[in-house]
Amino acid sequence: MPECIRWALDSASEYHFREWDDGFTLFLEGENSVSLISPFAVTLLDILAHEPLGFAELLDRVSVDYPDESVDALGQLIEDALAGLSQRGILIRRRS
Amino acid sequence: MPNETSKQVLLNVLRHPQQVQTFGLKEWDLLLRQARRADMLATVHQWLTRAGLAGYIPDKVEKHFTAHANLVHANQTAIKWEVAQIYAALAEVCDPPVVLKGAAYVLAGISAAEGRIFNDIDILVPKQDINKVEQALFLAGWSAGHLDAYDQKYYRTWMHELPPLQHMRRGTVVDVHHTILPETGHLKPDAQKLLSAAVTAAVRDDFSVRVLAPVDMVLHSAAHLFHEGEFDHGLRDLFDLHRLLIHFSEEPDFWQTLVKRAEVLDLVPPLFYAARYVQAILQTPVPVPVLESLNRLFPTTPITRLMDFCYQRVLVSDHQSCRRRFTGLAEYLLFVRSHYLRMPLRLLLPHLIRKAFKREAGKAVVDNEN
Amino acid sequence: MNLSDLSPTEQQHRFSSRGVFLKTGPLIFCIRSPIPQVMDSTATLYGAYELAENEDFADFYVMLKYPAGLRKWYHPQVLFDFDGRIPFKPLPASQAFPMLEWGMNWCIANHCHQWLIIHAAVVEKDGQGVILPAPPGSGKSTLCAALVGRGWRLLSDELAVIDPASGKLIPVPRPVGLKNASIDIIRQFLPAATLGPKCKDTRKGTVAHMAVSAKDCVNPQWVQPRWIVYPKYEAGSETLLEPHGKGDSLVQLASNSFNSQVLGSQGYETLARLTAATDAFDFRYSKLEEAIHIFDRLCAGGKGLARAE
Repeated sequence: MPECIRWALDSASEYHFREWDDGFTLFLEGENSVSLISPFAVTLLDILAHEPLGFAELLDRVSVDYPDESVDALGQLIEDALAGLSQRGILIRRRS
Repeated sequence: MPNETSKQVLLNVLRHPQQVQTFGLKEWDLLLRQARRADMLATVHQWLTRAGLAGYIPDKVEKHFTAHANLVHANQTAIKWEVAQIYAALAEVCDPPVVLKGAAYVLAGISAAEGRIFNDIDILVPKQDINKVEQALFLAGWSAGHLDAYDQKYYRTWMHELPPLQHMRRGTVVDVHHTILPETGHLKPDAQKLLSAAVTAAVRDDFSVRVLAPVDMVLHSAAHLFHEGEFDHGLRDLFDLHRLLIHFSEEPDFWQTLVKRAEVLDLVPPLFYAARYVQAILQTPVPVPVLESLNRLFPTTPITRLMDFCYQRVLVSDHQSCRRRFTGLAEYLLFVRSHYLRMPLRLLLPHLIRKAFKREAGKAVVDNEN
Repeated sequence: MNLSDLSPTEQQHRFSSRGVFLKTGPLIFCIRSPIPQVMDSTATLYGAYELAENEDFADFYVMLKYPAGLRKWYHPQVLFDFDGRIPFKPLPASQAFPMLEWGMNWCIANHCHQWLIIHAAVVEKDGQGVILPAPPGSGKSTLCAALVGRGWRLLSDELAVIDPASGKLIPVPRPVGLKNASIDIIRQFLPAATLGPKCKDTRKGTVAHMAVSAKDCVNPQWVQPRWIVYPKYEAGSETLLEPHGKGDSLVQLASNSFNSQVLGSQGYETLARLTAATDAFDFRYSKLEEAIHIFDRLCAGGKGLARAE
């Protein structure tokens, strides 16, 4: 994934999370969509809520919370989560 | 004619909301039906509430008002958000676009937005930026989708507009304009003048948008209504104009500036009709000197009588109880007029023939399906 | 006064003049039609419904009519008129009554945004509501018809209507729409049920409607929702009730809802409250008798029922 891309929350949207027995629902006010997302995706969103990050920086931060995962496996997890979240308009891509 | 006007419950309530104090359930029922048809349920609700009359609304009627008000609330929240998305998409491409029409009323907090639902977002950009804007919006998910070659040509070559752009995920529509009336038309307002007079409206602490200057906003609304060919929502649009005029007439010199600006922008005829019909139909207090100067600039002719005949029939709720003799004829005449205003006859005739043919072809498909 | 209290002549007169003002739950429909099929089927299936005491007001004015012109005789068609507007393409005249039913559902789903509306059947027993959301082919209507034939109360077979302020289910009882094979299944399962005529070749196949019991037609009581059950009919399958994740249930309810998106955050809050107040289950079945047994046990308070089965 090219390093010039940074991931960010949409500052125009309000994010409403609710925890359930099978994950979190996220309601994006404005877009008015409801999605079911995993605790891992919530971790990513939580990190990105503070500042937009590129993939490598994100991997660094996440590996603190998941010390037992291999870097490759964690990278794959992040990539899949980012693809799913951006496809639904939950995360946006910024070129820096 | 007393019988005909007494059936115009919606119009009467917009003029004199106090009337509802004497309403029986039958009148409320007719008000509800006419307001629903005119797409003005929540507007009427707001209007009555503002007049301190909410307590007179029966529960049975109130729930329909609430239903529409709920939609309006969500719609206006979504419009603010959607415009923020458009601004973000264009941030590095051009100057912030000028938001037009309903979205502008919502964002600038103008009372004409109260109770109104707006489906599309209209923006105005300089003509030289139009391709950049289309590209940037495309990257952010808006595209013209599938238009046949004829429709593409209609928009891009004749109307000098982009076709409506639809967001691929959300389905929301943006209309990108570089002028407010078709360039093929009779009146030619200079968009550059509109753009340079645009003003800033704060939406939130960290977000503001550009909208037309008050007089230009009124003129645009008038130009739009009096170039329209379909009047399903004629009364609603006329009431928007009424509320814009009331809202801005608190500003000093508003009326004098308005007439002068209409001359500068080549928009005297629509302002003439706007002033004439808001006053005649909604009893908007238009100052006499304003009417006089408009009469000097645009003298009445037999055509004006014909226009009176037409507009008095179409600028009402489209509910069946509001239809009068010759309403159909009036609708037809205004439909033809709107096309005539939009393009010269050499373009107009082939276009109408083609549209008529397409409509017939569409009908044939429906028949076969059944 | 109920519709069936009027003589057939009087009914016919009202249908073809000022209309019949029928009450369903909190709503009043004014129904007009000169079409015999509409008058007959409405008399059969809505006989036990109350008429509004006052004809000055209706929530919705609907009319089933023939288009103008020669089409009345050549391949006759029918139009659904919503207070002077024609929102749909015409259908063959033989589908006039189903069109009335679909049109009435459309009126509610497209206008009653004071409520959250989900595409689902709703039944109740002992004050406890069950919502049965409806992907096509799930057998929702068959199950719903069987349940109401065996003592469950019908709130609606198509529209779960929720009051956002209280979170409760509002009844809008209407005849249960049955399709294709389920028509004969229900005829066998509930021999005493009143079914309207079969109408063939509609866009949903053959349809027929089952009348609602007289007391359900006029019961205005709102109901606390307790369970969301996603039914799935599978020929020859065991009867199986399994827990369904609540988060996923919320997403499913949102996608089955007619208006949660247009209601924005209010719609979402109402869905979240509903999800929190209910338990969600997947339900696979092939035998109606066993299905009803499971529902009765659920209602009787069979906590942990899902795992025990």
